[in-house]
Amino acid sequence: MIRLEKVSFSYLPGVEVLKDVTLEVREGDFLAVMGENGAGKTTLIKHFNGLLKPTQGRVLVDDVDTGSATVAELSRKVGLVFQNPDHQLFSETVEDEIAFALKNFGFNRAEIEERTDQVLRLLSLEEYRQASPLTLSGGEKKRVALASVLAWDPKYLIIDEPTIGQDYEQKSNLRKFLSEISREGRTVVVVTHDVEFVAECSCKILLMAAGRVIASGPVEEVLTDRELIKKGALTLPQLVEVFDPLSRLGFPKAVFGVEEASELLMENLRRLKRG
Amino acid sequence: MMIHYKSFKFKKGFTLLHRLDPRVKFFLACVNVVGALVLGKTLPLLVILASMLPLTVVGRITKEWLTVLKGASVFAAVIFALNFFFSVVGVTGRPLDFSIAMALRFLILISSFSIFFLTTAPDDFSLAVQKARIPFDVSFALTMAMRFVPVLAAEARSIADAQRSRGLELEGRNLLRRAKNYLPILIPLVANSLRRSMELAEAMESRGYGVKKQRTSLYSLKFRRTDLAALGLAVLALFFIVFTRIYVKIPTIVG
Amino acid sequence: MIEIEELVYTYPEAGKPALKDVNLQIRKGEFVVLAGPSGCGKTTLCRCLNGLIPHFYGGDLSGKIQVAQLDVLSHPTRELAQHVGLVFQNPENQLFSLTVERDVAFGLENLGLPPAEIRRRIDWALEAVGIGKLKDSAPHELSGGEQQKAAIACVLAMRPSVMVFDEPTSFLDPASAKSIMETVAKLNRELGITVLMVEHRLEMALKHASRMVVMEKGGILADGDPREILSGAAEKLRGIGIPKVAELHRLLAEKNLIPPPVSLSPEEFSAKLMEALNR
Repeated sequence: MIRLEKVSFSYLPGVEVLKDVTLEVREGDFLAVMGENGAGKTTLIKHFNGLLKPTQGRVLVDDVDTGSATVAELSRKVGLVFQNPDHQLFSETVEDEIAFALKNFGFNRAEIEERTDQVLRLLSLEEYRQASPLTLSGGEKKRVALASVLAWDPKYLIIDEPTIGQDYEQKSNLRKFLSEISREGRTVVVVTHDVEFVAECSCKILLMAAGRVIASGPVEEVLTDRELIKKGALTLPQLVEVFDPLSRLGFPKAVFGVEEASELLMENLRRLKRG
Repeated sequence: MMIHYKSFKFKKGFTLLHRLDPRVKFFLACVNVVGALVLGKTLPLLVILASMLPLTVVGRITKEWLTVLKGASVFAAVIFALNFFFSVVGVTGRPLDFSIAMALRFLILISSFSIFFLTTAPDDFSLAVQKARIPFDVSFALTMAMRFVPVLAAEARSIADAQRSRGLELEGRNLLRRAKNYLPILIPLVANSLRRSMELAEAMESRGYGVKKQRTSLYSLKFRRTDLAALGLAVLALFFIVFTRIYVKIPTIVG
Repeated sequence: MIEIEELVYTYPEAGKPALKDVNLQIRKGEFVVLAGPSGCGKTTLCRCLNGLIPHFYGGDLSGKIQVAQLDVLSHPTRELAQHVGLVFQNPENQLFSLTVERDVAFGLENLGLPPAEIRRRIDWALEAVGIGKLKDSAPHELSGGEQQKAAIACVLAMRPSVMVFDEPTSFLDPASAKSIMETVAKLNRELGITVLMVEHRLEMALKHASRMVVMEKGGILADGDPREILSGAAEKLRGIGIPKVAELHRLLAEKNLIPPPVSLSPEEFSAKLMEALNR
């Protein structure tokens, strides 16, 4: 469990980027941290592996205070994938890129090979094994960055803005992938402001605004709450906009998928027309 | 980094010092440096260093200036130690005074230019460079370099964070190993800078850079009375330095 | 306003062309949204419109590109800049000065305008995008959305008749993205500027658009009225991310529950749904 107790943080004296944040990420959680740019989302997750230490309060990773462990020790458990893959890719080949962290964490050669094979397959990157990461497209780079972290099998996987610059199909593949590894029991935390992406993940949401956590709860609750959405500078998912006014006719508010929406309407439209 | 880039970064302000013509400010910094070079003893150098303090008060940058001094003092200590060691081993007359003076020279050099950069907007700087008949391309490149220093610093930080999160250790005693460990930070930093400069070039091109032979300029530098007065003072100081160098026997205060 | 005929383009040292036989005519005052999966050639097409391709990038180009009655191939980008403004994805790398004012001034100074005129145009452009108050701010102190508005003002101040936006909102959060779209729509509506916008957020962009162009693998797959395109077969459009209301509308229209064409916004859909219920 990652636990933040009354955490405040400021880069410059007097300007608090996080204000009195208390939260828990439990094992097996699938969590989306949402909020507008500048709400403190990235600052928050940099506390999870000790890159930042709180100015007040404390952060515990499996009961270890991040103040008393190195970033490398914490990262073994908490894998952080950064927003911009260009900030980490530097090796000559994709294979070396993935091996880099494995070497740092002291895996032996056989293990490195095995794990590299495994993640390349998992993220459909096998054909790029010998390619230079710098020549790949944006979407492929993002996948290599994710693979390079998944390779050491961190207990907690934290991903910062994975959908930025991704097209529809890439996003939908990513959503399937994350849902799958979450079902297999891995703890997954996604930082994003992409409402439609989150709407179709069955996860919990932690909504932030101006350095504070202003709401936390399941997707069905948070993404249907007009007030909260406004405070978090997000937008309502499209289908919620459609179903919100229909709720007085007995429809559910929390409808996120097109299939589900069309079935609901088809079943009930004829009935309503008659009535 | 021991001397933080922020110590040289322009701090917005509207004080007398900020409004002074950049050419005058640059000249002032040069006078200080000349003083530091021609007067090789502790006492006059201390006077020069102390004379900067009121200037920083006028420009409301005393805090930043002191930070620069603090950062630079580490290097100054090294300079002092080296000079002291070699002059004791060698035959130089007054090792202590000489070594302190050498360290002070360094401090004056760094801190007088930090005053210049702290109070001169890069855009003004570029105007001044243009006035000196240096082509716009060159002055523009200088402005850009200044504008992107903080961006680059933030990027370096972000890259370091990403690599540390992949188990890269930047601490440790072995210097060679440490240098090698900086590669995963340097390579992305250079690659990104190249990418960024491509994008900047595209944006500049798209905004008509170089379409007319004669560019105009929204602002131009105007030499005002305060500039003239400041220039006069600076020239006076220069004379005083030269005079001291030639005619005054400066006492050695230490060693 | 934009005329492209049989355009084929290959980047230097690339094996296959990035654009294959592109034909596109855009009239004055249109608001065209350009959609398509990553790597389909959208950005490449944008670069062709102000001559970055081929003048800046090199490579092999054949065909004809004319923008604002100017032949792109025979005019360098810096000359085209007064007629075609290009706004890029990353706002940070489009602003190079210390204040917003001087950044907007940059292009105008390049044009050799007198200072008084520069000042007038800066005020006008900043007001038009709604950031008049930020004139003296440093670009790096602004939020991403404000930075992008400043970048738009920089281009707008040069008074282009066509503005091309290459994924202007991809780094922004939903609220800022919405505000950028509204700003662009206003420029199109009130100033009559012809707009071509590459955008993934179709649910936000299409409601302002008069036309939609879909690209795939370097060619144009569909071109026409957004509602009509989205009412057609969904299979071939799968990659572009059809807005959910449009998709929902299409499914219901297939069952004859509500009439086509599809809606582009939830409000529109709700209204049509109510109409269908009351009939």
